[in-house]
Amino acid sequence: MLALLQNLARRLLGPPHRYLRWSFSEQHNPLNHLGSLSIFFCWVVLVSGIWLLFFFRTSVTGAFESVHYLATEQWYLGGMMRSLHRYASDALVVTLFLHIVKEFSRNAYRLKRWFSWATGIPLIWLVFLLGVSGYWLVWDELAQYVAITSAELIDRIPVFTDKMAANFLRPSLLSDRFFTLMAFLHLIGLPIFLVFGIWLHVFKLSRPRINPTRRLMAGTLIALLLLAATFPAPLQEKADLARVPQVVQLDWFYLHFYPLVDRWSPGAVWSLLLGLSGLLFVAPWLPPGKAPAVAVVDLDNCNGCQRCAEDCPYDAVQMAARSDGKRYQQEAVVDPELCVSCGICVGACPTATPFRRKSALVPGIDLPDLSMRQLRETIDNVTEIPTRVLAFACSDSAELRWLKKNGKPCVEVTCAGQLPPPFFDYVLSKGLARRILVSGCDGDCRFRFGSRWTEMRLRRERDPHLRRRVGAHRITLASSSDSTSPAGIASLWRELDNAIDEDES
Amino acid sequence: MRLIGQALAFAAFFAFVATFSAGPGFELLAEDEALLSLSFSHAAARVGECTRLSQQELQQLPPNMRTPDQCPRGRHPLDIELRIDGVTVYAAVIPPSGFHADGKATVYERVRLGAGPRHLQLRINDAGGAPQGGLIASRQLHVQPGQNIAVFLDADNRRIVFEQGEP
Amino acid sequence: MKYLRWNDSYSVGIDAVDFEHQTLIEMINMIYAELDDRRDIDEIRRTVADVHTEISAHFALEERIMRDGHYDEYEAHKNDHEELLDQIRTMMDAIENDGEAALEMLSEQLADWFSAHFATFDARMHSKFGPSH
Repeated sequence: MLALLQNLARRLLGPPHRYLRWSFSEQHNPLNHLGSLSIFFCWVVLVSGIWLLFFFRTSVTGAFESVHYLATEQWYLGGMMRSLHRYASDALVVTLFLHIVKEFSRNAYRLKRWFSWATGIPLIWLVFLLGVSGYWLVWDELAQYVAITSAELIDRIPVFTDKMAANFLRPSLLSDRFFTLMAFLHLIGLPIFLVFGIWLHVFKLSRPRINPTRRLMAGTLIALLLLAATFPAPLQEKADLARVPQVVQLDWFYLHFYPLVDRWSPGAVWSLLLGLSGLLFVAPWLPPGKAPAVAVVDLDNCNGCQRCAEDCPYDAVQMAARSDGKRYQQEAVVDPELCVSCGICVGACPTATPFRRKSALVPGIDLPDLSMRQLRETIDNVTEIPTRVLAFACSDSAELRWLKKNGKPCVEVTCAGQLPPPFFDYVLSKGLARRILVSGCDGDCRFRFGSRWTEMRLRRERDPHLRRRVGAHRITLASSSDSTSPAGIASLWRELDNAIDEDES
Repeated sequence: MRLIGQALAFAAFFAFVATFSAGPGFELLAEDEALLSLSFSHAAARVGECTRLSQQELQQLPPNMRTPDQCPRGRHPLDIELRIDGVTVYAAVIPPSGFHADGKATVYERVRLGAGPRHLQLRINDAGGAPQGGLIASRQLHVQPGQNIAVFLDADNRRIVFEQGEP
Repeated sequence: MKYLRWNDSYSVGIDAVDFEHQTLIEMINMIYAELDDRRDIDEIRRTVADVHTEISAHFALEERIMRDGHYDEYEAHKNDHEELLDQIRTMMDAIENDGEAALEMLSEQLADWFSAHFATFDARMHSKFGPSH
């Protein structure tokens, strides 16, 4: 059931991802930067909001007038800021939604990775509260509707007996003090929680990506400015509590469940919201799964060189003082709570080389479920008859299915980053294959850095370097091409075949 | 070429954003409808008569509880009926708030009604059916489309008010 | 066959590095012994592979120490590491393919490696990281 949903999500995201990969290049692909784009939109909202703050009056009469002034008299600056503020907030909801769908589809929330997922749920609530309170402040007809409906929702919570909504039914009952409260929430209270919440959401990751690439930020900002200039955010009539607007122009990004409050009831809407939040919260453990065995350090083969700790995307490997009495300063220590068994640490370890030696193939750090020894055995089996092209594919890569279906010699790993360059050296120098194809995740790596580290190790920009005497042209990274469609990967395979033929001639 | 692809992507995304940022509209009322908002809090009568205690009975109580009049705390629920043109559009029994059922009962209901001349009648029974308890008021109003007619109790809580805003 | 012997003057001032240098000397001496004993070529090849693994780890540790200490000669030193590892791999492949012929070159190469890199690059580390510094 879960796999079905995830596949469906991946299927839906596939075509847009390929289109964006073609037009933006994978490095700048917006679908690889959904989290950081969301933060970027928060920045735009913040800066434009500060401008609006200077002109906003927190009073029943002043609120609408001040916004109206900005929209009409100061349309070139205040009006632009207002439009930026609105459109960036709406865009934020879209990128947030896509971000959630994408991380769900890639299984990046399950079991040990629950913390990032769970800390995201309050962020959804905060964003919506900020949006709703923002609409409230304008005090136009939409705000009136938002006020009454929100109050009805709040009144449903069995805390106070007086009805908040009563204050919005007669003009004489609404005071300026109310605007001060709402302004405090929207400008100070909620944003502080949002900033804290974002920090909490990323702090367990190593090297969290807070910003999209510069080019993407520039493009998005320009697009926002153009939008704000051509379609200024509309403003409805001034609020009048003695009247009810016949039609309200809703912002469907933030207010999509508001009509349900009337159609169903406040209680039903609360059940829906709380039910969804609850479901999201327990999702990492639904269905209950068994986490794969965590990485294991072998002190006999660890000298504390620190490469594994540097490469771990989840800060699950730390260096600690030596405990076995050897004359080394440090040793690597794996935190079982944080380790997701991706194997990137193994790819970084200098003792993970498969060349047959007297001692057993036990690297300083290894994955029990897919050890280096098992990997070497698998390679030896797959290449019993020396093959032309040997593929290494991570279980999340798009190429894996095609490779299996077409019976191509292929070794499956958890993450491409698990492969130490000496393994490629081993395959090529022993003549087990003439060319190697390494296939990482489609899009950005499920374990954050696997594809990137592999690429850098092959380009000799990151330790462990691929040996210089190994021709790097004999190893191809599938992610650097447009190979994710079956036609694409088939043509890539053909290219490699041709290259081998050329070598021979 | 790719630049055009990027521009198209941005255009599509922000077109989607702009389309649903302020529409489509959601209809709250039909064109010839108005809204009647019933909203007030009212403390109903207590559920029984106060009794006067004799000196003897008072002596039996601890010193800090020797008030001569002992009155029950609980209140009656509010029995509300709203009629428009003789038809009951809202009828409810609202219990008083609080653990001991001694607080105010809060009424909140919003009812749609057609515009034009309408006869409104609100009956509140707050004394458990006793003939002398309760409030009642009627009004013949000309309802304008889009109006929010507020119905509430005045400051003394003895009189029902129908308030229409300035047209 | 001139067996290598540890001398305190070889110390670069960092205990872990000294320890690994001593280990490497022992392993290289083991290869000399196997060559003397005319051991099976496969056995010798495996010992060389052990040396390769040990040196890979050793270089990684040295590079970590140099990076942490912001050693100004890091690039050149790292370059030499990569060069040496390439040579070891070439030697390993030669033993695999050429057999006996390669073994003759082996003993010379080993001594060369040790003295050349050690006497130059590693010795310079002493001045930066050594205790008297």
